[in-house]
Amino acid sequence: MAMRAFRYLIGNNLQMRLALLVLPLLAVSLASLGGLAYDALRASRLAVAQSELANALQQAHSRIQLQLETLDSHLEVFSRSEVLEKYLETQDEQERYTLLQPTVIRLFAGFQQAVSSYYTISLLLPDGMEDTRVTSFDLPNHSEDERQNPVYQQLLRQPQQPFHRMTINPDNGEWVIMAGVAVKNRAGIGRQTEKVLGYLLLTMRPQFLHDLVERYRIGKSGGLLIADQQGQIRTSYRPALAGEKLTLAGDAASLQEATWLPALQVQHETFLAAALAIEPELRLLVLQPLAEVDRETNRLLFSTVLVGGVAVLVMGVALLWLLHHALVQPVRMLHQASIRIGSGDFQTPLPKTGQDEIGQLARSMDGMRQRLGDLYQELARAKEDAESANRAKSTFLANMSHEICTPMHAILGMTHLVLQSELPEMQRQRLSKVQLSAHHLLRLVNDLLDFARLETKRLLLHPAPFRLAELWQPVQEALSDRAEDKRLQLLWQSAIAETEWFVGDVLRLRQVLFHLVDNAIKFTENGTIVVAVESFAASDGAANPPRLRFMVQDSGIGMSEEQQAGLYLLFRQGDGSASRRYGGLGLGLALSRSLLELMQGCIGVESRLGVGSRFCFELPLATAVATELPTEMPSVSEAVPPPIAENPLPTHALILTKEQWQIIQSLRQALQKRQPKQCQALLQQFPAEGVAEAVLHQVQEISRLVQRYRLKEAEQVLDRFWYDHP
Amino acid sequence: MLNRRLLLQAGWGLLTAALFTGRLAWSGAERERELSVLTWPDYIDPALIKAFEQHNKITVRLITFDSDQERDQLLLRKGPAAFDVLLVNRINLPLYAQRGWVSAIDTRQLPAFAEQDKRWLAETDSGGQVLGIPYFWGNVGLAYRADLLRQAPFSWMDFFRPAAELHGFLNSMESDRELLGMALRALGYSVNAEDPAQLAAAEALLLEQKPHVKHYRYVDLNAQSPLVTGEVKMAIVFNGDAVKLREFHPQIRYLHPKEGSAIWVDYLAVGRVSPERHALAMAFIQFLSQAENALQNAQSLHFATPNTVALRQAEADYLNDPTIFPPTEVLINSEPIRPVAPRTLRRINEFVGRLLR
Repeated sequence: MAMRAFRYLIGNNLQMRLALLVLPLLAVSLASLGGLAYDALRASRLAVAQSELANALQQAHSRIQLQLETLDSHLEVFSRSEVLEKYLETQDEQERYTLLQPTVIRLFAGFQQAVSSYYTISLLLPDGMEDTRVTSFDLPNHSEDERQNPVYQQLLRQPQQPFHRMTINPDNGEWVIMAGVAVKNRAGIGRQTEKVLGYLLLTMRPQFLHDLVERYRIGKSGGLLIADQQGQIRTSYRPALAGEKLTLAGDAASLQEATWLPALQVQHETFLAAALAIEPELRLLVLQPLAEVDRETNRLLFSTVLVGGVAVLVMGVALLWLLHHALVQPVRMLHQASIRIGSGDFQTPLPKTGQDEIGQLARSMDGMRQRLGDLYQELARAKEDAESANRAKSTFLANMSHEICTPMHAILGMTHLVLQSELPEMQRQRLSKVQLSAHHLLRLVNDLLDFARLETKRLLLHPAPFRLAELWQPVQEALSDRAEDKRLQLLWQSAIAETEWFVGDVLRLRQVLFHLVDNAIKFTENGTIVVAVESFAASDGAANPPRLRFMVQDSGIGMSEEQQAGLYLLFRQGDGSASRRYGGLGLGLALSRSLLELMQGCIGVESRLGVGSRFCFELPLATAVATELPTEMPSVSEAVPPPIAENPLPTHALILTKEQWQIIQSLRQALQKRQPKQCQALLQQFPAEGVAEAVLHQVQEISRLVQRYRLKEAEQVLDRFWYDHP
Repeated sequence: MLNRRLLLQAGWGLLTAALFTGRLAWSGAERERELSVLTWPDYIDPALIKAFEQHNKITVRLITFDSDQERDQLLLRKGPAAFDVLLVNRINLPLYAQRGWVSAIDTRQLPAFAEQDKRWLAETDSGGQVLGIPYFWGNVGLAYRADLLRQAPFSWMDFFRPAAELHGFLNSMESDRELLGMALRALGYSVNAEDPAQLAAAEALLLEQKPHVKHYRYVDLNAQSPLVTGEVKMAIVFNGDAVKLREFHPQIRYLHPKEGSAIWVDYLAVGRVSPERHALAMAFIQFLSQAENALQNAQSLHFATPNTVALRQAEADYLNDPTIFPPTEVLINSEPIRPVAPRTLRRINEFVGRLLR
């Protein structure tokens, strides 16, 4: 599970993958750095510790040496005291002890006052017997016979110079320095008459060694040790070590020089140590626990690794940052650019990212974008061209229909006038035929006009409350003559109450019904044409208005399945031959279908060749609420507007005067010919009074556009104006 | 630090040694008209010295010592020729002669010698010559402040094993034989005892007393004396000094302790000087020893004079003072300090060195 999550994590993120690649590398380098550093640090720390120890050894050694030399020089000075000489030269004991000994005792007490550690001072006679002894505390005298005293023995052999040695004081068992010097007659010093009168002996507590050991520290837990020739520790910087016995390899001779004792073990602790023999019976050791050296090494290592780690971390972050900026971010940018291009934005150029591979990729992608953009523009231009050609065609169609309308109205008007006059029956019948044909033609032209409007999406619906009678009666009135001519029965079967009100564009609905009934009459030779209407609730509940279904059934020629497939296409009739036989342009069904689609309805057909066809169309029609109904309820017959065929003049003909109409026509021609000056002249002729507000507004806008030489736009406004006021 | 301190100490030691070994040079001219006298402090009547100076047109230079040991040290340091007249005790006199620190006295040149009570004469030298002329004699006892003690003392033990009220108010002395001798007497032994056991007992007694002793220095004989100021309440003194101290404080009393005491005699001796100086010294000794001057000296210093003529002329107050002239029973119970064996001497020296440390 975790593995999958991990793979998911690294699988989708380049940056994460780079990080997971880089971090182990850094960790490995850090670890090896740490190892190397530890090695070097330990070596150098050991070297430092050794030099510290050597230094300490040297210092301690010279201090002890200095102390011992001081002791020797004290002895020399004391031995030259005249009182001592006189005392020893006085043979008579009575005299000596009475007159001189107190003075000698005071002299010795003076020495002790000067150097408090000289705790026993005694004077030996040449035969080795102790004569006078002064101690700084009540020390019992072991024996007056000092002939076995090693200092005496040495002085006996070598009276020339003072002598000292570390030994055990026989009087109290203390480890002390015992020193001595021969007292000689002053007159004979350095001559043949030199005579040893006695010996001055001095016992010294090695306080200076304790002081030195106490004071001297090496590092934190290193220090000095003083041992005797057996290796017995006499003084230690750690009280716990006192009394331990060391096994010191080698004797005094081999310890003349500072000697390293590798890994000295005392009380289960390992020390780095060096030893030196100061006197034949005195060993000076300096030591430092290895643990401390290691601890310092580790501390140094820790800080080194810490610094290294921080450096590596900073480097890693910097590397990742660089990777992020040099690789990940450009790739993401390119990714987004490609998404942008894919979504059709060819305008935004790709960002410049430098000369590297990613930069090259970006440049090649940018070239691709430019070419794609050019191609797209060409395509768009081609499409626009095609559309504008189509629009021009539609405009042409509208214009042509309109141009046809004008003479048609003239024909209809004149025919109407002629029919009002007295005419022979023959003439009247022929003229009636002319009038009928003209009406038919006008209707065709109006269909075309509607179709053109649908095509350019300029056709607007005008919903209003109506009753079904208003829909049907005009159709029946208009077509009953033709049905009677062909001896066809026209039946209206309504399942809906006469008083029901609906809201919809009754004109357009009537147009559809008219077409279907007209078609049925057209393709039926005998029989009945049934127009039925029924209401049913919308399948998806009460939220939607009820739907009405209309059905026009004939007993005509019918259609094959192939004919049914192409039924609603523009300019097609059931059969190519059909148009020759039955007339019509094939506009009707296509127009009906478009209108129904506009009203969110649909149309369908069932047909068998030779048996007949049944056209059905249905559409949602809201029932009118009482408040929406017109306040005055005209009777059905009065309210019925004249059918389209009975009302041939366009609406604007009623708004505009004839003079104005002519000006508009001239203006149109001038705009089409792109003659701005003529347009301006025409617009100035257009009277401002007695014109509807909307018309005046349109004319002013056209005038404004013409003044700015935007004739094409002006023409479009005029077109719109034209259709807005049909 | 260690080094410096030790070096400093070494330097101190050197200085001490140099002091002991050095000799003071005396200019000859100065010495012509000067008589140097080595004596105890306040031990010669200043009026007499003045009289002698005037009579002989000479300056008397007094060099004083506080103990026998100090005198010995001075002689060791300065040599026998540095002093014309010396005051020496009985034991040391023959040793001084032996050492050559004093010269024999020709009694024929000393008219006052005839007046001397011969009892007090010291041993003669090997040639039978007189080495010193008796100066004063006396004994050792206790001086105390009667007003500061609740109970009057009567024994040496009152000094060596003091009552609690005396702790820290005792004044002892440095003179080894006298000090140890009195401790021996207190224990009922002879002042010249040589038995190590007896000596050990006396030493123990002195060591036991040590914490209660304020000074191991002979009391001053002036108004600032610790006994007068009350700094100490009891002191071991030579008898005459107690009388002298009484002049400064009336409540100071002298006691001959019941265990007895030691008899001492001081002698005037002549140093190893040139014949001229020897004659001068002899003149000074004659001046001090003649009956009239001896009496004046003894009466002013409150010591007993050995001059029999002087005693006959003496006042009753002086003669009847039991402090100056101890009663017979006291004298019977007393003994002179005599030389002891060298071994004993060594022991005493070592002990006193330890005691005074």
